[in-house]
Amino acid sequence: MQEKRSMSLSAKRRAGNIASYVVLILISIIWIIPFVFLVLQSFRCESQGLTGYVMPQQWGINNYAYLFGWDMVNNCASNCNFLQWYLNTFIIAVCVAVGQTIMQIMMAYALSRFRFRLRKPLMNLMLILGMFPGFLTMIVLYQVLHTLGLTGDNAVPGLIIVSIASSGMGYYVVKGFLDTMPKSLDEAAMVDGATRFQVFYKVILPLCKPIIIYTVLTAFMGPWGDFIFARTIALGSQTGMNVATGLYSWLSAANISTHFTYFCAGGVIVAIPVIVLFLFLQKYYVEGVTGGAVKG
Amino acid sequence: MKHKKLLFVLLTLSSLTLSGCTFKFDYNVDPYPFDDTLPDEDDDEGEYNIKVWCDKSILTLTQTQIAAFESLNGGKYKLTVNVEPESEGDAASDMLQDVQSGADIFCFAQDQLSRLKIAGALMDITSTMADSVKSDNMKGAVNAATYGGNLCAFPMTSDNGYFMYYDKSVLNESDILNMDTIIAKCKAAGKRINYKVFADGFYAASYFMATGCYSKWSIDPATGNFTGYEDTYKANGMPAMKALQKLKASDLVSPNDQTNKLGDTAAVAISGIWNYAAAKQALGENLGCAPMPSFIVDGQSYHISSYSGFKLIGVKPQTDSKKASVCRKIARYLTNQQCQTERFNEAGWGPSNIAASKEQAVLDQPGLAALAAQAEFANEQNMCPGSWWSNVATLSSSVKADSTEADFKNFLEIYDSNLEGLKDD
Amino acid sequence: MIAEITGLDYLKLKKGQRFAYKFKRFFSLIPTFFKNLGIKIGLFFKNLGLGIYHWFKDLVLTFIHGDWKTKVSYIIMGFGSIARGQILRGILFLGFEILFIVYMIMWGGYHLGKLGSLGMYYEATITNPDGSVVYGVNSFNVLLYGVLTIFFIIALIYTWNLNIKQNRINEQIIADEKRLATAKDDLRAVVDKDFHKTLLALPSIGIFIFTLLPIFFMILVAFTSYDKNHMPPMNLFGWVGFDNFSQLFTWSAGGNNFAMTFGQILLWTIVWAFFATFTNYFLGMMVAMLINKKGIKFKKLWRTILVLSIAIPQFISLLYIREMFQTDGIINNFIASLGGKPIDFWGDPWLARITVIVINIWIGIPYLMLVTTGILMNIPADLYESANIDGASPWQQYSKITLPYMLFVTGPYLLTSFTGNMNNFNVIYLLTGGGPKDINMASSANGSTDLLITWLFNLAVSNSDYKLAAVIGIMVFIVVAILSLIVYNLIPSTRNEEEFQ
Repeated sequence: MQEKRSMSLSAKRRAGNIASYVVLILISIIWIIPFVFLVLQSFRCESQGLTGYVMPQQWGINNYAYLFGWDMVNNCASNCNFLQWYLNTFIIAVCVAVGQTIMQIMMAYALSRFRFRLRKPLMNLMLILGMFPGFLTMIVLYQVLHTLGLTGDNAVPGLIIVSIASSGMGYYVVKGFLDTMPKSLDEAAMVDGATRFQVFYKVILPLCKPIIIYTVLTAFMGPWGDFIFARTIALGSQTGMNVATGLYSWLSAANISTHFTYFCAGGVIVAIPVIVLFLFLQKYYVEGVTGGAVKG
Repeated sequence: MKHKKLLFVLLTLSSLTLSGCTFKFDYNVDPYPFDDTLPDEDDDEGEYNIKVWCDKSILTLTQTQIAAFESLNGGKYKLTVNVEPESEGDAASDMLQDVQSGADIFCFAQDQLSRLKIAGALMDITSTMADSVKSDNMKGAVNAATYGGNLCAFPMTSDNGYFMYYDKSVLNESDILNMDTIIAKCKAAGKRINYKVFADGFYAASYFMATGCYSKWSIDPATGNFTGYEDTYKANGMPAMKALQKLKASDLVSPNDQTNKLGDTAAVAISGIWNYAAAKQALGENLGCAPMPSFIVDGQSYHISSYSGFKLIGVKPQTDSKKASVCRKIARYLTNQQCQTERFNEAGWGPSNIAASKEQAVLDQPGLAALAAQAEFANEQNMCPGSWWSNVATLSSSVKADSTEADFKNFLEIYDSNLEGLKDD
Repeated sequence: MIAEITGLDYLKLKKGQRFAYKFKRFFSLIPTFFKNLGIKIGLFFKNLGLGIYHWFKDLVLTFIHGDWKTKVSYIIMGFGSIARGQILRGILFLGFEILFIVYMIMWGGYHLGKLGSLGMYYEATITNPDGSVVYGVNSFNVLLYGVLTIFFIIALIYTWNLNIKQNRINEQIIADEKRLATAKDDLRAVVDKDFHKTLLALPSIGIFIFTLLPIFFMILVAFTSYDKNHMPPMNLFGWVGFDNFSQLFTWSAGGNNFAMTFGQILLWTIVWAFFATFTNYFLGMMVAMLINKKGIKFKKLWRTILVLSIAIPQFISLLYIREMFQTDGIINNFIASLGGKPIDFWGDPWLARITVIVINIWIGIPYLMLVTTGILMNIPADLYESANIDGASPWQQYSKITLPYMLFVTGPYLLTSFTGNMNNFNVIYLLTGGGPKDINMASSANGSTDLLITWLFNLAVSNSDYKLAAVIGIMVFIVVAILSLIVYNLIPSTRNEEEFQ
């Protein structure tokens, strides 16, 4: 009797698991399909525009060669600035990843561990500022950067400065993480005669590894998708343009029929560094999201 | 200089007192009405840094052409030229963002002219040069480059309109005369029609203009504000709505102007010369180019209309009058017969220069020939509020397969009532 | 005003009743809120008046009673500090004063002087007969740097006051025969007692220049005539007071007044934010539970596949998906190959709305899956065990244990993602660009999937109508703030900073 019941239970469970696997496989297909299609299209050689089919009729690396400066059809230089854009974006992404992390940790630590008179007003101010539609201020930021000489050809440092400068406002996730750390840690160290700086640097920072990696990762991803602000700052300059702006312009009505496969190839190349980082650091990302984002 | 300024201040002050001391001053009144007796300067030699914005496809060509201009003048000018790719559709918004850092010479589509001119991003063209530009170029192109009576840009192409690409293996020469036949044949072949008629006012208007609709707007050149309109869409639009319904009910229309899908998913594409290369690559020998077909409503046949459009080259006002003169000369050079022909050879752009447009190679180009054949049914784009285009697009996109005539009446009514609000736009 | 109930009574209420109670209470508190606000404002002005009075009194008294070093400090900042041996502080004060003077001479004075008019007509750009121009006053720069200068002046007054206070305190310390703080003490304070100031300095300056100043500027633009007819540097713009706001009352688009158009867009923005937030939330949670389920293998693989879509920049995946959903795109070709009729995903208003919500699920689930995975694992296992023993069905377990726990923990996250979705520019802009336009919606000023934010973007960037965009931006800001407040008051949350420390 007993045995039979457990049998039916495990059979039930097995059926449930099979159903789960079916659902999971379906989900995986849906989520991976756009990416697979993107990769397939990037190897299409017979035409450069949009097509109604997915499988290339003629496979090749022409599109990638084009991005890296060689037109394989006409055997000449392709005059494509993709490498420049890519390098620009990479520099921006690395600098922003570092700068933004530093800013957010400074902000979050001060707000999490210190109690001072302007603390609440400051937090409220940042919350309120965050609700204002940001891109309205784009022309103002352009003008400020223009005064500093950081637009057009010099857009790269300009973009770095803007992305880092206001990043303190996104302190929530880091603060949420810090808030979960017991205060007794700080107090114990201060009893031993450490200054607040030493507490921060020697006690807290080492414990912040997951959240630091999370912040670096999200900050690094940001600049790859910036297709509006970067365009405003670069104002037509090829030396100052980032990869998102460039790729986006390839999908304009005038360009799409001659540049779509290049867009796909570019998209694949852009996705690679982020995917690699993600695969390696996924664990920390999850820890960061659950540890900080939720509480933040 | 100083005298003039003083005089101007005095004049303004007196006019202020006269108008009852309302301190509302119109900033846009040009203090110096255009003086058309002044010739181009000849003592403008020197070194110049010049930034040019043009489409990606003519980037290298433009560089060579400017180099040719430099050598033609035998060392009079030392130019450092920076040619940057900028799509003609974005030129206006980017110039307006920062006129001072924008390009000195830039290409743009004609619908941006008033916006650019009002924001002060276009220099007027001096009279001697203007005369030659006017006599060299097609009349429509000159109209497109004229604002408030002054020529303020150089016509570059005359091909910014649309016509019909079709797949000869699906449709023959008699099929393409009638939209109903096209629909039937495409349906039978399982091919689609790429036509932005339900998505974009530039194309949507083609059906309405065919049945005699027009929308004329009067503009105050000083402020660029629209002062009034004359619109016949409500009166004449009904047959167009019915024809659009037939097209909609066919479920064949794709809202894009891409020609590279010809032979693959589509048999017909309504598009412009800018997509000729892609069409040729897609169809090869089977590519056909034709003027727009006709549609029949209530026993009457209407030839589908279109817009003829022009691309222009503009020169930004300069603080250095010598540089201003050089920039004008370069822009003039870039739009002369030779350069327009070169542009045709390189990128297939149809010339606005009359002599260039009569060269045999141009006449033989199937796309441009189709465009020329369509010309008698095409209308020049006149200046209208930016939102007017979306008003027309909304009108056509509201057509559903199951709409009734009462619905159409209602839609036209709504379209018409929207016009008043567009004026301030 | 509904009666306030005690914590115990509150716990006795059923879930729906609790919600209704909170809901009613929130709105019944509004009159009290305004009453309190009135009192607070009154108090504020009273305190402000008193504060200014005391401030002036102290300034005067310090000047009268102070020694000569203090008196000189009224003009030369930091003099007192230097004279009393606090060289570092003195130099900082003095340096700031010099910086201010240089700034005002080189830059600030000019812009501040023009701020009142934003440039007069005779200062406008002049076009010469030969086509060249002489650029005049640039209203944009005058407004921007005029505002900056005002902030700079406020900062100077604050520092100047600090410098006087410093003198007063130091005199007191010397009178009490105590030791003055040395430079070494100051430097130590920077890394110890005042370490938070050190930490906050750089982020605050950044936020001030690159967020606060621009927002302040845009708010001021709402009171100017800055639009496509008044574009600097060729044309000037000027102050117009509340004209732009009153213009909204005469505004019309297709027979619709402004309130109706704004209301339409707002309604869709809220509907969108609601669905975008909650579809993602529940479906994401379900996917996470599915992967976490006992007996499911390759957990990491499933997660990685989903996470892949986070790693691709949104603009690439969204633009690609947009093309997939075109009438001649891959999806419709697939439908056609099955013999179906093509579906015009982007051409039909309702279909387009549904499609953006569905695609947003594709975008959002991986994030939610990651967020919820960690929390699900934190739910104490014994809760489920005892539920199993009691014979609770999976659905009961979910609705009685999992869901309440999740809602409780992720309350703040839901709030931020709700407001985030209200401003979700990317998804709408890249997929539909706000379209399609629907004539039955009467207004042709907006498309049927336009959010407030995309609508605003079109106004500001495509039409260069900055004055109107600034006015509407202010209204969007107010609406978002109010909605956040309401949502924030309705959801359960653990937002208690001190709880864990």
